[in-house]
Amino acid sequence: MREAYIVSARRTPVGKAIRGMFRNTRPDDLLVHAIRSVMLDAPGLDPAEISDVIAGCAMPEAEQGMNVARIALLLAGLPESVPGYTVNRFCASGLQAVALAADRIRLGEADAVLAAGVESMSMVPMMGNKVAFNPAIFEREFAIAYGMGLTAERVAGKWNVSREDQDAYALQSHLRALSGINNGEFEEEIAPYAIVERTADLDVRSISSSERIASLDECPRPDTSMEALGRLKAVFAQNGSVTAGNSSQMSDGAAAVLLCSEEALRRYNLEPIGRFSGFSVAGVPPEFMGIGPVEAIPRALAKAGLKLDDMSWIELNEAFAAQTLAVMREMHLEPDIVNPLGGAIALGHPLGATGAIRTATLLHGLRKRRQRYGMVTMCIGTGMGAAGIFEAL
Amino acid sequence: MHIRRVAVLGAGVMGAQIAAHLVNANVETLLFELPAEKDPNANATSAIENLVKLEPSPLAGPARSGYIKAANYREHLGLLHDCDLVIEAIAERMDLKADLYLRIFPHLNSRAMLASNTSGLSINQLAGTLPEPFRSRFCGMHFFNPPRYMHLVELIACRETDANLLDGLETFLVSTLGKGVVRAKDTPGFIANRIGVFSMLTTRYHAQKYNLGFDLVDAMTGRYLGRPKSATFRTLDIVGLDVFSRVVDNMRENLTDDPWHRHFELPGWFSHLLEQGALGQKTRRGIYQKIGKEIHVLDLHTNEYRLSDAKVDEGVRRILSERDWAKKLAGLRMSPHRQAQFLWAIFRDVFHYCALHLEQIADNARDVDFAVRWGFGWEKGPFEIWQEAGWQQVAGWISADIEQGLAMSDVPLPGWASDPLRNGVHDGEGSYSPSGRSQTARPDLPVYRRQMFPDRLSGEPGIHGETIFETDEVRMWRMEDDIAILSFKSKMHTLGIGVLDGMLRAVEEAERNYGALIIWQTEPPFSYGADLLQLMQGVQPFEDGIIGRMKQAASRVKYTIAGGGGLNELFDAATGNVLHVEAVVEKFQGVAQRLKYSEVPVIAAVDGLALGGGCEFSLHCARIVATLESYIGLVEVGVGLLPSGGGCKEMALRAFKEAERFARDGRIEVFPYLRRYFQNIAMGEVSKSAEWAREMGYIRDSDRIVMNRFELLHVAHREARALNATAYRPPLHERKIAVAGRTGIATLKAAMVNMKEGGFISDHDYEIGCRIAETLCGGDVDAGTLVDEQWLLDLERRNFMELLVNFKTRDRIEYMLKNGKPLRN
Repeated sequence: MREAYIVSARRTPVGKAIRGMFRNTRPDDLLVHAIRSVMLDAPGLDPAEISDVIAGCAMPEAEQGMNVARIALLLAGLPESVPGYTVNRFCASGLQAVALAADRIRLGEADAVLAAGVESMSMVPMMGNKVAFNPAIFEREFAIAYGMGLTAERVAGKWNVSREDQDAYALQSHLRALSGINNGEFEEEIAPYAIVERTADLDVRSISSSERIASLDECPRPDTSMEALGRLKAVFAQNGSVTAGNSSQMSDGAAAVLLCSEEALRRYNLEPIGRFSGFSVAGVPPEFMGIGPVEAIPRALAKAGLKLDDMSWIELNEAFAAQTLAVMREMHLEPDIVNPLGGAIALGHPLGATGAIRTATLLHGLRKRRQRYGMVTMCIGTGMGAAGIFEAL
Repeated sequence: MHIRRVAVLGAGVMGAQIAAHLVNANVETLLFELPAEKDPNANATSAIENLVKLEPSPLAGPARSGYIKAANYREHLGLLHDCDLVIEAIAERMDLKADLYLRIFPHLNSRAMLASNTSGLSINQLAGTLPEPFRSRFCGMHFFNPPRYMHLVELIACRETDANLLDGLETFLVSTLGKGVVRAKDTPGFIANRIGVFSMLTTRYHAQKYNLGFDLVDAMTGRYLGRPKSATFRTLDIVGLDVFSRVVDNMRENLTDDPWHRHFELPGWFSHLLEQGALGQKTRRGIYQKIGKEIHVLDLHTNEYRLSDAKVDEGVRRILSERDWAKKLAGLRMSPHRQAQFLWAIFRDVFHYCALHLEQIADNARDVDFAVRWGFGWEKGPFEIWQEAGWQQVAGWISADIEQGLAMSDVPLPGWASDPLRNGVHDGEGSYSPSGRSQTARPDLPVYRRQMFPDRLSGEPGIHGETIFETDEVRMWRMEDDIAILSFKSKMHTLGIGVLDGMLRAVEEAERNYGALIIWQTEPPFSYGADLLQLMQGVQPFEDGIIGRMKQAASRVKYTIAGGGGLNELFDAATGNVLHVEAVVEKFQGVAQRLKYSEVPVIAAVDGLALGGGCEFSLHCARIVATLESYIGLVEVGVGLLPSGGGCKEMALRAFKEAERFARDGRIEVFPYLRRYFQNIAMGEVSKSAEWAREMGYIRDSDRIVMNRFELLHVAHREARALNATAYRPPLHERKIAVAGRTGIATLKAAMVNMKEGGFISDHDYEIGCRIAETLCGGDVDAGTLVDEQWLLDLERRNFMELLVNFKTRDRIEYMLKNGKPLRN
């Protein structure tokens, strides 16, 4: 089996959904920007040599529907000869895209593949525009119908994660993210995005167009505190512990990762930033969806031939503080190496984009600290977990 | 006078809410406030945004606030030029108001009226600050808080106000804004506050004298006296102790020759609360304080708050429960009990005060009674109560008490009041006017011709029309035309067998002999829904014991769903059975369908609550004409049932009709349109206004909303004529209704599973919700399946019957009948 190298990993900043900076920015435009940004990092690569563009998206419809990968690659100016497809594994879609791209290369079927993730939760609501459940779930497995928040309550109950622990974890996520932003930790991975908004100026009766550059993540809250978090009401269960404050934030964003074979690196004179080490995904009961990484992590490690101790950095997606803490405790993860720059509670979680976004964070972070191995892992709706392992070069 | 555009100056509590009510009435409105630093409109804008958060909502619908245009005095004075009416509602200071008038005056057009919403300043003094020629266009226009809900507006002319313009304003206030107008003289506090505040001061005075706690006083001076539940001290907390204190200060400063002047003061404890910033509801502490779920009240013996647990003496309670004011007042006066003596004393002193001041503050007694009724929410005004209690008798008692030095003032009653020939102040001729020493008829402004049934005072003759037929439960009648009216006689206008039979007979009669049928009640509510107790008589699993308890409960509880006939039939229902109930449900559905497919238009004239069956029947009428204050909802879930008088059927049909309009490529997606309707029914939601009901889907675009409830029947009549003018035909029978089917059911269930598993709803809520989902979605069929109305009606009925035999539903019904509120089980 060949090796798959990562040449570039870039992302847009992440915006708060619905009322945030990307409220009027189309997800396919965000994806176009991510694709162009990684292509700029590989000036020697002839775009026509890209074998495929694989984009992950959790609600692939409407503004991000119709095979958003193909649409975005064409809009990004890649040649018509480059194909593209969209994959959906909910919150692991972006990581799944990276794994699929790596697989094509490792198999020897492709030399350069672009993986990506994209999601606008401002434009496409969670569960999509038309929710339509199969009546059969009520005969067999009605936890399929559980909202994610309810599954977090179930995990909090089963693994005894207290409200206070969840809030303390959430606060830490914000503090880490804010200090990361202040220290410029995200500068390498973020490709600043020029937001252009067109609105009607009713006073002067003309279209008013404005442009501003977004270069920072929008979700972290400098004003949060244990008191503020403690005041929030549980939203998914009466007397529950999961609140808007200790859950991930709905958000918008996109990221792209360019993967190449060793031959391609040489042929196009490209400098790799990392190597793909392995990926695994596993199923768990839907009502305990948040515990998914516990099943996926050991399998991914086994495939990569590595131990947990080899990991210097773990990006464990904070869907909810409850499940993050449950996974950390169950796996005995060292708190210092899990989300050192904060996670989705502070930075946001644009569902299908997250896997690709956090791959970018991990690789740039490992390199900066001259660390070697790291992991991106997350839980997945309807009860799954995914884990991808990377080696920084 | 035609008022197209209004400017409200001052975006405080009153200004902003007056602006809200203007846009409720579709009047273009500008709201002015002082300019702010960065965004000059910020002050007005934030006041407008705040309107959305207020409860009860000053807005007829959540989107209404968007129609108020924010303005500021720096940039927008030029916009005043297009305004026909400017209502000033800024701080109560003569100098500030005078300054503002001078600033705006050059911008007003020559037709514009300027009105001040002052509650304390003299209208003539304010007029004096205006240039002479403009004074004819100035007056006082005093709204009551909250302006959407309080019916009263006092109009106060200054010496120069043009009488025609004042009539024009009255017409606007009555018909466009739906208010009740009383003309007041320019005296401090005008009419309502002068009497209402005096009544509170009197109550406070005697409470101290008779050593009664605030909670006990409130327990006695609320509903028992036909006044709001908040009674005296709780009302003070709602008004704000600071506001009240200013009003009293104003009276003390300006009413120096009032014989009761020494009583225009507030006690030490009141000032103490003010100093502590305990201003009432807005500061969460005043005379009362809510601690957790408990209400605590200030106790003057300890100066601490204690649990509010007042008990009215049993004997006094019996007197207070008496409906006849003659017996009630006599009982209070004769009783030696401290609580009764206290109550008599407050009536005596308020009557005394009203009699002495009538001539000075109002033209006639009607204006005083309406001002207090509409401005303070009393069911009857002071003169009405006095008259009903026996004028001579009460006048004698008052005079005797004055002589004995028991009254708060020793001024004798005025001659007209103690006139031995007087029987009262209101009669068929009008109401007594001391200045003219005669009865004054009601105003003859054309706008009042729209009030076929104006608010009636005791002593005035009622209007009855001509009866077509009358039973124990309904009366069908008419005025002098071919439009028949059906009114229910049942308690809370509940729907029992007798009412259903009456409705069927009325439709038949109307089809045969009349042009249209209007369902209208002589007073709200429109209908509380089905007569549950009567319905229950058929359900065997109810043992005799429960039925007996229910009967007792029903006769005891004020809020009862039982109709008159239901109780007797209940006793005879030894052999009742479920089949009987199913037949009743079928009858309900039959009546609904009969209303819908009647050959003559049936119009529901809705005012107040239209719940359950009352809502369902309205949905089936050719038109709903509803007052703004209509609270409509399908609330059956509260008693563990689902709407089964065609309510679910009609909402499923409406969703289909909407989906059909927005179908794409011939594909009809019913579910998105159904979702909101499901939520309305499953949560038992009730609209906060007729406009809210429109957003909920209970009122259609073709239905009408009326601002003044006394114009309801007039508009319903006009609507009936309009329908007939277009050669009315009932709708065609719907035979191809696409339903959301089993995928729709599953999707609604999925949402409910989360609520159930999260502990937000009970298992039984879930069970009921699933049945509502099944009914609205047309049953376990493929999405898009075509059904007819009967299919949906059968689903309604089956699910209703299956819920009815569920013991948890029966617990809900029993609980509702006993306690008047829903059980969550």
